[in-house]
Amino acid sequence: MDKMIETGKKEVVISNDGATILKHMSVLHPAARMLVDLSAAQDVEAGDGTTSVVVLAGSLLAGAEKLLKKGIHPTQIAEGFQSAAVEAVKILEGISIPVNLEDREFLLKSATTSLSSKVVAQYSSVLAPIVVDSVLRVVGATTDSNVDLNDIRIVKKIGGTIDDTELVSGVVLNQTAITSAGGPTRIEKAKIGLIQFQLSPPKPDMDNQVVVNDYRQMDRILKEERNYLLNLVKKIKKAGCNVLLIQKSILRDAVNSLSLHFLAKLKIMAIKEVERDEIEFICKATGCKPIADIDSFAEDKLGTADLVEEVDSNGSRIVQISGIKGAGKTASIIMRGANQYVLDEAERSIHDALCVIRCLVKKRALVVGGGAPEIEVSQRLAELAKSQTGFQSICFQAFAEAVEVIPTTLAENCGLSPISIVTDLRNRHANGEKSAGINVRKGTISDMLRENVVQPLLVSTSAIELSTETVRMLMKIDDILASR
Amino acid sequence: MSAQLFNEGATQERAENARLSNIIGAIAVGDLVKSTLGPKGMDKILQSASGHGGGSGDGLVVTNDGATILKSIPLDNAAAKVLVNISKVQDDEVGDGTTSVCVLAAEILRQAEQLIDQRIHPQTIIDGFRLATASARAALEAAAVSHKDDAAQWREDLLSIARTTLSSKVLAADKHKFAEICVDAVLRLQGSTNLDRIQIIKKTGGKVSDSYLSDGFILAKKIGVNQPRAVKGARVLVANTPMDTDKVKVFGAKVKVSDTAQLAEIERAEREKMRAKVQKIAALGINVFVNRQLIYNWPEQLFADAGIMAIEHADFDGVERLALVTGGEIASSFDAPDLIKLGACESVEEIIIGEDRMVKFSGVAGGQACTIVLRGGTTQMLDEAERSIHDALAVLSQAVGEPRIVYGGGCSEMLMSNAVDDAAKTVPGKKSIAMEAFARALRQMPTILADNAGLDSADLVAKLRAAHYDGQSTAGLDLFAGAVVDVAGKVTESFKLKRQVLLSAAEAAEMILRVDDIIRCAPRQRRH
Repeated sequence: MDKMIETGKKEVVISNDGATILKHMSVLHPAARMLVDLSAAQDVEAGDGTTSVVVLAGSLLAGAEKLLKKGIHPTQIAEGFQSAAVEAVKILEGISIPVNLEDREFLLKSATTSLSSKVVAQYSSVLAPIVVDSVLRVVGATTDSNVDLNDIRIVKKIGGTIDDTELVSGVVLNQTAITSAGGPTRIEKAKIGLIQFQLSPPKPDMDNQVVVNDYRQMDRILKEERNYLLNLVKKIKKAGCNVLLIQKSILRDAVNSLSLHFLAKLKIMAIKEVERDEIEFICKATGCKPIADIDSFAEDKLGTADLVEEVDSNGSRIVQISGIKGAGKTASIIMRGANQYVLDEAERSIHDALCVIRCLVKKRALVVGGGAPEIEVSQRLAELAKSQTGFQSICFQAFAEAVEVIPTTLAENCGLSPISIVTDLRNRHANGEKSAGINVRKGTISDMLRENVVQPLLVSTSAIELSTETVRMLMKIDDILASR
Repeated sequence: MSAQLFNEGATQERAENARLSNIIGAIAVGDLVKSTLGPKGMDKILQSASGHGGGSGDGLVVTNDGATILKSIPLDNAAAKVLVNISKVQDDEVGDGTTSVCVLAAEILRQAEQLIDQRIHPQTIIDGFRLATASARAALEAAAVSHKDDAAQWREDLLSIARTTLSSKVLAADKHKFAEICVDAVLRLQGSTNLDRIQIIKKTGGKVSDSYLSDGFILAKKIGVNQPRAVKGARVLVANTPMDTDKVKVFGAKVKVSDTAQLAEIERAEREKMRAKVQKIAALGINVFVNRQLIYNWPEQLFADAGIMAIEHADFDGVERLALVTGGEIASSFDAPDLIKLGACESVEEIIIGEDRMVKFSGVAGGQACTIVLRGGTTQMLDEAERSIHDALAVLSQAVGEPRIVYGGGCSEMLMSNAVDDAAKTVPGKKSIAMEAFARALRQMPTILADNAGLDSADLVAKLRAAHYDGQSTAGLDLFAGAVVDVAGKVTESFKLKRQVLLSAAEAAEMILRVDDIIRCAPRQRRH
């Protein structure tokens, strides 16, 4: 289920993503704030599993409380949980399935699993291939062990439905072409220049005033302004540029109507309002270099593309650059949606799915989903507990019970009876069916591998490690003091 | 008829009331931090009411370090403030032992209170304490050993000290790994106590055991667009100069022209000025330029064209450390090239930690710089880990200067306590009663350690005392096994630390005991 949060600024956020919900809640209690941080850390590390990590931490704390009542010292509980976590990670690595990044099918399955718990679950057949393809485009399949998600750009546009989301081969810009002066909106065989200076009347950084003593001079001022701009535009044309991307400047207007008129006459397409932090992405994607001054406007700084055009789709216009020569490894996704909330949540879901694929690049192994790995960990830990002595044994036992909260919650959330489902799962795992998990669509237990419900190993191991670390920290606290 | 001596609102406490109030305050502070002592000690949450606490979390700090806790608590009692002060001094002098010093002072005062009840004059008590301190110190010095000549044993000593320091902190679970990191970092300093050469970078994500020591200096900043991403044989200029727009800094400066062409000329002139500045910088023969302030588009492009790597917006701390580490000086103007000192290092390159890109300077002159990269789940964890590492680094750098060590786990305290008891037997008069009280206070330390571990403290401390009298001068408490064992090589403390704890605590206790009058002045009247 999702949650709707009204923020202090009266904005509405609808989300299923644990980290987002926790971030927007204004939490007072210090321990609760630490759990919010925990969720954010899981987001950074694995991208997904942000809800699971908090649920796991809560369950571990409940287990620890029972142990405290039995009289076990908190530091002993902390140590016991730490050893149990180490064993749990080993167990998970043992049941993991290695993944080859060339195997697109497997990657699709993971992306679909991640999307299936979000609002956009019905569109996972559209979104999952987009996610997988964009990551594959950005990463070098055999060499890289990390993916810079900044290389994948998501452009959101209201209009259409989520079905219309597409992965663009090329670059998509949020901004639109300026057509107010009749400039072109479609250029073939484009040469793209990215300028960081402004095409408007000269404005030095000092405050200045133009003092005119004579009415004849007013005429001259207008003429000079015209000449100045004409010169700039001519130089641009001379270098062969026919698409101009202009960086936003807070100091003065990027263009004024006169320069736009000139650009339109010379058939140069102009796009303004490019943000400073988009510059790097655009450079990488189009192969152009940013130009800060008209004098250094040279042909080698321009990028080349087959087609730059402004596309009108479902009511909004975006600029699409395709057929880029010598492009860097980037990808652009256009997201469409009926309203702002759906768009925002869809973007978060895609981000999670991208992180899931990134996890697979980092640690190339999968485990099945549906609560199966948690039950397996729980059972093996319970067995290990029998071979331990003293408080270690009791802590392992408590850890094993705590981990079962994930399949229990899954069963509850889809309206099944948690007790019967979980006991049935335990039975099957004890009989060797290691991939038996909860099939929420059918409401029964089935083989998760066959159902293609899989998730990256890194998400599960990271969840266990981070939640244990936070619980350990909380266990060691015995006093809350008000400080200044 | 009572004569009004003080202003309205001033209060005065005399004699017994004053002493009582002082001692109660000190004991309260001691009890507050007692539970954080030792490897089984607990942590505390410091919640700031205003929402801005120390640290990067939003007003939330989790810590075990005595000095940090005491610094943040608003206290009213004067004696308590004295204890907070000695804790701070211990932090500055040595780095660790801030809790121990507070607890020891509080215990000494607790014993002193009982003596006062027995009608012994405070001056007698103080004399007795002085004698006790002298004999305790002598015993400690006699027991201290130094292994500086044996390199392998020396490294073992340092590792043991680091492990002992970290065992009471949040990093306790990974103490072996962090002990190695800290010892390596400190040995690279080669005797200098300037901890600024060790840069600590915190990045959320991963777990604490993913932290590592990287040689070279890492700056958490990005390189400009289109600039070389790796440079070998770097000549580094560290600067603090505005590279955005070169405004005339006279407020309200205006220029009046008569036509737009002149405006264009002025604009050109400004650009040329910036270009000239960049050329002056480039003429110094550098290939890396680090600026404290922003580097805007035009100079960024000029640098890119010249093949210079430019890094902008570096923080003050980072810039100072970088200058120190590469051997350069921070420059603000570039007119006199001979006055500018460049830094040098073997290579500068961009690396990725977690999700962020950073710049690494490796092979710095003198090889002294290094960076500890900390990963962790939550910001509180990272902040506390950083404090713990600072403590460990401080102790280790002191230990390199003063290489003598003593053993922990209650061993040194018991040793000193027995020495004081023996000395007390030879002193006639009431001073010997005071000395015995001092010895009891010293014995409280291992008692607290055992209490925090949930063990039978009375039993263990008695066994420890018997062991020492039996001649086992390296016997101490093993809090994990709950027994008295030989702690040589297992639980090691720096001699300087223990001596400082003893002396500061005794001095603070003495100072508080000598007080017999507290005068509280009227609060300053605010003008409406």
